[in-house]
Amino acid sequence: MAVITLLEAINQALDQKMAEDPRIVVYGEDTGFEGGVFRVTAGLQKKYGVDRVFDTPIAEAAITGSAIGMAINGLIPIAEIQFDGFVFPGYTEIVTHMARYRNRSRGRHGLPIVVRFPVGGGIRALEHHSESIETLLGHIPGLKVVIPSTPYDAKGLLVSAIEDPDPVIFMEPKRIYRSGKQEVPEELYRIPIGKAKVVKEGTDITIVAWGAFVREVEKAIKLIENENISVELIDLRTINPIDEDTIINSVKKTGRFLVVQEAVKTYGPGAELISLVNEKAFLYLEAAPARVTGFDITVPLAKGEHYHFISPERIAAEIKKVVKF
Amino acid sequence: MYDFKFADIGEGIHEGKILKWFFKLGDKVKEGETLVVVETDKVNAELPSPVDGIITKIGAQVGETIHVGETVVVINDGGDAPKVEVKEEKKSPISESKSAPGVIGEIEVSETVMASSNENETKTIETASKVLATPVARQLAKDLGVDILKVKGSGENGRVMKEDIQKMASSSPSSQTPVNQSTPAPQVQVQAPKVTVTATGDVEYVPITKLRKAIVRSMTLAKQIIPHTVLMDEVIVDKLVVLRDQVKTQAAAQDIKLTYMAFIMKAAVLALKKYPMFNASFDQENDRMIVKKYINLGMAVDTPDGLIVPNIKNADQKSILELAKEIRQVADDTIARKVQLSQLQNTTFSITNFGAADVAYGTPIINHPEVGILGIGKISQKPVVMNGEIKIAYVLPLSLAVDHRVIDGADAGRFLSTIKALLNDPMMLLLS
Amino acid sequence: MLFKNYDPLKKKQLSILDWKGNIVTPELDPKLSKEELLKMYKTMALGRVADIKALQYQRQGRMLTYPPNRGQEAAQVGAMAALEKQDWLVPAFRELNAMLYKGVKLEQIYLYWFGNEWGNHFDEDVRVLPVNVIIGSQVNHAAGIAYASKILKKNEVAVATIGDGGTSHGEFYEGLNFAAAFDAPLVVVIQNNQWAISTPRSKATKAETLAQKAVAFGIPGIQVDGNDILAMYVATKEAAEHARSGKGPVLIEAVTYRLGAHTTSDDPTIYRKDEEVKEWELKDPMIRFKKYLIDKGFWSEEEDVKLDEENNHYVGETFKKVEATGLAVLEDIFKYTYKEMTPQLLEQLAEYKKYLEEGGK
Repeated sequence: MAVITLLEAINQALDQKMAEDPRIVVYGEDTGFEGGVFRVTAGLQKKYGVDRVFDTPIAEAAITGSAIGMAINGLIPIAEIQFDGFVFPGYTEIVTHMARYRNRSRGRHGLPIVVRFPVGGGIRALEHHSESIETLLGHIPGLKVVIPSTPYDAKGLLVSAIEDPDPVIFMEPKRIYRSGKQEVPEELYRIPIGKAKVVKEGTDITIVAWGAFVREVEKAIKLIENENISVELIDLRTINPIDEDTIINSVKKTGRFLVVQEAVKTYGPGAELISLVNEKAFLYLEAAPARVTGFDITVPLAKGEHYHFISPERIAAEIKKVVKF
Repeated sequence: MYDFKFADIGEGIHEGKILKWFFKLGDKVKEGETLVVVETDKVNAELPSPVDGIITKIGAQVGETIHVGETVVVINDGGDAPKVEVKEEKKSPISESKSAPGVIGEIEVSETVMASSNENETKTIETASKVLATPVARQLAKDLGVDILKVKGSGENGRVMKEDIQKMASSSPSSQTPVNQSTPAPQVQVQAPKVTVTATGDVEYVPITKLRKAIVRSMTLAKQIIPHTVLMDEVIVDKLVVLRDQVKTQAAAQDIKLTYMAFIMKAAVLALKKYPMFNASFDQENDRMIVKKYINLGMAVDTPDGLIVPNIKNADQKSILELAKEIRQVADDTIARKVQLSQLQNTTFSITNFGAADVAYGTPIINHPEVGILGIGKISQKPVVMNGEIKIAYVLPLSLAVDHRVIDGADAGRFLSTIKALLNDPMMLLLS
Repeated sequence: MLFKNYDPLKKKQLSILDWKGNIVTPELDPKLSKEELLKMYKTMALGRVADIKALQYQRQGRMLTYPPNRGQEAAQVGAMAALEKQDWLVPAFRELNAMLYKGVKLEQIYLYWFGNEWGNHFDEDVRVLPVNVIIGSQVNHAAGIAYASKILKKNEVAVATIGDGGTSHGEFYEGLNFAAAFDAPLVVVIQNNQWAISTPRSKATKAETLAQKAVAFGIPGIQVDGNDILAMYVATKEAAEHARSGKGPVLIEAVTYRLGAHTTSDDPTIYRKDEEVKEWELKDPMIRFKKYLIDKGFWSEEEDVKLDEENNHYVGETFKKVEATGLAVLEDIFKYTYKEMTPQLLEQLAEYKKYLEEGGK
């Protein structure tokens, strides 16, 4: 079995699906000829031609808006936004149309669209290249939002996203595009949307993380391995719809809950997860549910980013705090 | 008949003045034709007819004011159905009050003035004094029968930790709150005056258990509230002794220990059926007796920790053998402190056995809110007079305590006599 | 040829049937058949009655906010009549007549403005997208439809309509630029009815004509007398051929007038003068078209009166039918958020239903 990076897994998913389904088109700024600024779509234009894999003008509203027309008229568009910070010019179309078209037309037009873009920080980039906007998309009815943390999951989730009859936002944690390899099966396989994964079983505390931070939590767990704390780690994988059952069953078992999120604290995904835990597992709680998050600030430039990007040490400290509650 | 009402037409209008009528009473009008011009703050609105028909009523004349919701005109359109009411409840609030321009939708306009802002009044919200404890800790306290308000918290800010609760629970040997009452907290003062002992020698302080505390409460309450009257008598039970002897081996084969208590319970049940007021509670607040149609017979059980009174549920529906079996089971469970709270609740009448303590008579204390309790003494052989001759017979002493507020001596006597008769001639016991 | 001869930068405006009902450019007369012409006229007549009655119903409190179309019938129908059956209409929100011509039922249009999403559920073979309230975004949608048509070789043209106000919006620019970059078969018809709510056309942009904005995209643009049904037909026909043949998008500016208010909750007397309205009433597209048809012997006053009666009756019946549908079905507001309801939606619906069953309001 091939051992590949997250980025290569995405490329493979796109490649194999495009070979199978001639309706699929992949496009965005520099997506075609060059294969994207990170080379995620490298090689696809050569293989599938310039009609199906193409470069667009710099016009995010046109990128996301045209996806709607394409989906209505027989294509399966996979639209790329170059960076998380540039989603906003294309956000109008995502929220006011993509998410609602099925509802607006009472089912006449469902839109099988994928919007994909790299997310997250920790790469000492320019402004607007390190955003975490799960809330801004997860909050919109009609959208599904997924984010893989491993190469295996990336391929499986992307295949599911492409095959989903509803618009799916596919977030790619750029920090881990190339930072690790994993066995990824040759054939096409699917990871269902709406299903979290228990990465590690435990009995003392439930931790939910996603994207680049699953790995950071694993590092934290290693730091406290001699402290006799049994951690159950859940990779959320789908931001919306949330896999409530997996999380709640885990909290009922451990009685303690911690969210680790890169995103801004206030009104972030952690708030939603903790609310769910309070609603459905309140009586099982041994400690107040907690969250380690980004600060309520704009992501700093390189020289200040290290304060903001949560370290495994900080996660470990919070785990201990919750367990000792 | 079409009653055309002046509708909110979304231009800030809640009333208008009739400027000009294009039709008069009796005229024929077609749907869509302009009926009238109404002058408003904003515009002069032309109102078109909603139906074809003949005008049968003019709602307001030229120069008069018409408000939204009032009739403009009534048109006989030949149909007897009233106008198709738009099934939108949401519409009415907006048309009653004014509506403001906005291009889209309807926004409410109202003259109501709300209370002035109290922005600059400082109001401090007082922190409530509550027990600090996690949901799991609170549940633990409940399960262990620990009053969490009484637990001293060892955590931060006096937080009650699970260990604190467990410690409290294990200091009292009982793990079940021995509540043998189903009433809420009594309205009677059960606190005795403070006791100080001026020691003239060594003194040992022995803390009382939770169970003892509960017994203190219930006994004090019963004696304070209920005027007890005790009737005592003895009954010759030779026939009962013979009967029991005959049957007990067969019972043992069914693994049932057939005690006298089973027969006595049966007798009590029959007596209670005959005199239902003994199977009741006195609801003084509402001036009434609450007569229970079910019989849960309480039986006092002497446990190493103290007196506990579980009950046999629906004793009237059980045979003597069934009662015997259950008596044994419940007693065992109670002694082992395994009995459920429900077994202790909702007793309707109680029986207590002095005989087990080798005593004949006593003055038992009624379990409030019951109104009677039957005390059983030890069965012994005594000389009795029968048909003018002295014979040796088995005699069972009975002590019946009743609540004299609601049960008079004569009733008590009759009740006791019934029991005596049944125990004296147990054939009636079996046949009833 | 047409686009060259009617360069908006040279202040040229295409006109064939003038406001008096006379053919002023006979060489461009499309010489349509009686059948085609009457289909157009009847659609416009129905649209006008539907429009007037919708206003009446609103005044009676039976209809909600509604945007009147009166005065723009030719700008809408003329364009649609020039299209093939497989071509798409991607409308803004003031397109009653265009939608009727392209196969949307009046009942559906009324149902939508009545407040029920089922009014957007057109028949499967109807190539019309639902009313679009986000100004300008329809151009991007149409660009996507056009792009799909191109690479799937479907021979379809996507026609997006937009108001004069809408041409100021970024998505107007992005969509046309995008489609032009790929030579996608997109035609944008600007319904320049002179007013964007209370903002006159002159305040929307410094450009003298809207059609000349085509220069920025590298595509042809043409300004047309929007109340001239024949000119609209000819311009759109040419534009559709141009796009269909792979030469890329075309921008058409239909100069017309919004005789009514922006919506039923708008009072235009605040911001415009009566004289202006009166002036444009003389240029009413229906008046000149009727004269043209009667002159050609295709129509008569008697038939017109009869048609009006029929339309009034039909519209009345249609509205009654719509009115009788009442409130929406509870499940419907949940069911179409996704193809399959998520666990969260199922739970929320069940909870709310329970609340209602227990007497909650």
